[in-house]
Amino acid sequence: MKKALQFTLGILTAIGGMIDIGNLAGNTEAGARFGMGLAWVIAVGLVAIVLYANMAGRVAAISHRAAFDVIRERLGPRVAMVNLGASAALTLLTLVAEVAGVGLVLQLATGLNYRLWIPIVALALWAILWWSKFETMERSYALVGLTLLVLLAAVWALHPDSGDLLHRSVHPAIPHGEDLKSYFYLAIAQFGAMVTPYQVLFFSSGAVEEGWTARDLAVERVNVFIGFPVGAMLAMALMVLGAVVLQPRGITVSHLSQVGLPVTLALGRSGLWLVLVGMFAAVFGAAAEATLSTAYSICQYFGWQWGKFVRRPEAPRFWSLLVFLLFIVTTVALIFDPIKVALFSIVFSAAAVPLTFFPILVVANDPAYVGEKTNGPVTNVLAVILLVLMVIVSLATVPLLVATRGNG
Amino acid sequence: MELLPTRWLGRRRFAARAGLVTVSLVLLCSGCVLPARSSAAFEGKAVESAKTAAGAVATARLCARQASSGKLTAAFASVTMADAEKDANDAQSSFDSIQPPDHRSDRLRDRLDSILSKAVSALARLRIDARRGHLAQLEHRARALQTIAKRLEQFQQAHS
Amino acid sequence: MIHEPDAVHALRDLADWQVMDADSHMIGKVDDLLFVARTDGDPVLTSILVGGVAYAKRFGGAWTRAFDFLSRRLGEHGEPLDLPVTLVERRASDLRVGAEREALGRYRGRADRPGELCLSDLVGAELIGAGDRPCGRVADLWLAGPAGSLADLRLHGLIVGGGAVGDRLGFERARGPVGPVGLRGLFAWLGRHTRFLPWHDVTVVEPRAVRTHRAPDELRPLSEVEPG
Repeated sequence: MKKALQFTLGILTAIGGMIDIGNLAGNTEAGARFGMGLAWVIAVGLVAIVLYANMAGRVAAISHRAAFDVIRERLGPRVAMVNLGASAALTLLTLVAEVAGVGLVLQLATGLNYRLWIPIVALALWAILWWSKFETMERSYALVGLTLLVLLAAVWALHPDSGDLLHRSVHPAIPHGEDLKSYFYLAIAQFGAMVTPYQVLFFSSGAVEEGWTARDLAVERVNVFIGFPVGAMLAMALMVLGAVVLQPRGITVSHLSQVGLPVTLALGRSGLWLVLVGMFAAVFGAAAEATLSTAYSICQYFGWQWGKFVRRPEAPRFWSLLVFLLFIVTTVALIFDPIKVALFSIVFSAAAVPLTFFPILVVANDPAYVGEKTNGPVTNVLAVILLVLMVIVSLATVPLLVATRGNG
Repeated sequence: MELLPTRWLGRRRFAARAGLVTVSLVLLCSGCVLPARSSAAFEGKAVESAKTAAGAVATARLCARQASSGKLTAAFASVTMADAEKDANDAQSSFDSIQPPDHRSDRLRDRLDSILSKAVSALARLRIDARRGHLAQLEHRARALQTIAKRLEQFQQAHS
Repeated sequence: MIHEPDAVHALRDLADWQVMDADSHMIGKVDDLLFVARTDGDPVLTSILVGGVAYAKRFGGAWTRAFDFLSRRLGEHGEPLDLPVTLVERRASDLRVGAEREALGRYRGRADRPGELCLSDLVGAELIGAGDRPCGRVADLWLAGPAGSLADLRLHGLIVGGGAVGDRLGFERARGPVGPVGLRGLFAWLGRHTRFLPWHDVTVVEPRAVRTHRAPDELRPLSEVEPG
């Protein structure tokens, strides 16, 4: 019974934990501008994140080492520092979008300007990070975030022509008014929305926080192989809603309200409340994860004590970092447009993925870390193909960013 | 002390730095507008502004209909309307700040500007009503947006 | 989780490892290794440096000076922990110090010892052979000694050659990563020029350079020396 509960919780955590502001804005925007033409990227992104998280989780469970600890050990301090710098900068960018994003959700619920909410959100984040137990925190956000299943209900309620949707997914076309470079730019964004390094780094550190061992691998596998695909369905639902409701009307996503309107169109008031609660939980949870993830990475790189699994006085640098990060993020979040930042952050996520994917791939093959549970041949083949793809994406990102003037 | 050939390390660092610099610049400059050097370029920017405004108008219409049928809270509707108004307003001010390169562009500018002004004031009207909680009449008020939407559509088609 | 008893590569198998105290608290990472030269044989590993300016030294040049400046501002914490090797136990995936974190204060600060060699000076140094011909850069240090005991590790030789990335990642280790096959092949190809120089062939250690009396083509390829 306990095992079944553990499994269930794990799956639910994975589902609820996948969606963040990058998905809300980015997946919907892709639907609004290209219809179902970018659906295949969600599928590719799902394969990538499943592989990535599975490897990182396995390494953490068996070796009790979290990602950046291992990354520095294998790549050396200099290359790992470049890695860390890029990852940290990118995660902070994401965090800015998430914190401001929570403000946006609260604005939609109350009418009060999102900027007023930002400091409150930051304080609430701090309070929760400080007081609640790691597992409780993770589980609560994810479970509340399950209300995002309302997205699936909304799609169903709109009765879209599924044959047509499928056809458009399999035969992507560039609509009038868009061009190829914007298509690829948004494709990169979709990939980044699915494969966010901070989520994997968090997953890996979380495995150590919760004291996972090789015996927990079954739970880990179920989380990843069942939970993530369901989470990906939510991302797909966002794209469908954008394609079915926003695209015909020529609406593109520049505000969170435009993400909510398709749901309210389908389901009315109850849909509105469910989607607001779901968005709140998903984005707030993502903010907590991103904050922790940055602090974890920095501490793991330097070898400093980190984590909520030790008494607070034993990890002073970890806690100081958390405060410092929240402070910077709050300040920056007050300045920039959250939706724009969210869209940038997913593009850069995609670009930065190979930096952390590559060392984890090597280590997941290394018996010194994972004993007998090294990658199977299928995993390796897929992983290498994905790695090549990721490197191509990385190289294409800045040129495309410049070519589309950041507007995608 | 080179663990990797310098060019590898250099490229990564360069990519990381370039990326960060570009992000900051683009974020900061997303409001900045470059001058249009030819009338074709100006026309292109006009179409872009029309497109943005059309999206804002469509959002407002979608919102108005739902608000009138009770699907939205007053808070949600007023935020949506305010956002739409802001988008249209921003589109107009950034378009207005572009220096038209020739007389043909002057006429183009006047034509689009009048449509945009109507859009902005209609959206402002809706925003005010929504803030006051007068949701039931939003759909009626939004009828004015129908003509504006059509004119924006025609403008885009004529100049693409 | 076993490491080869007679083939410990300093960067691959020791540097940047997590150092824990007796209570399993994380202290830091291995930032530098210190060896003392002996007249009768290879230099012996004497201490492990953790943190502070030792970390900065791994970056070389201007970075070191910048970090050095910063760490002076940080006061005591700018000084690395100089842990004698007798205090440190090598375990499967980390190093364990036989004392608690609070008790380590007295190891803070480096004392320069004569005839001392450090990892950060040797790795990256240019190896210059007979007739002043360059042999490549030192990529790693080959340490020899029994498993588990750090105290008996000796600096047995130098691993030379810029393509030794694969080695650093662990691919060359006898029980290292078995895949992905593509990457393993790629790194084997990149590391095809990696060479080995036994320590007894080293004549002089200078700042940023090491000299040997051997000619570049006399150096044996690493693959011939590595056991398995």
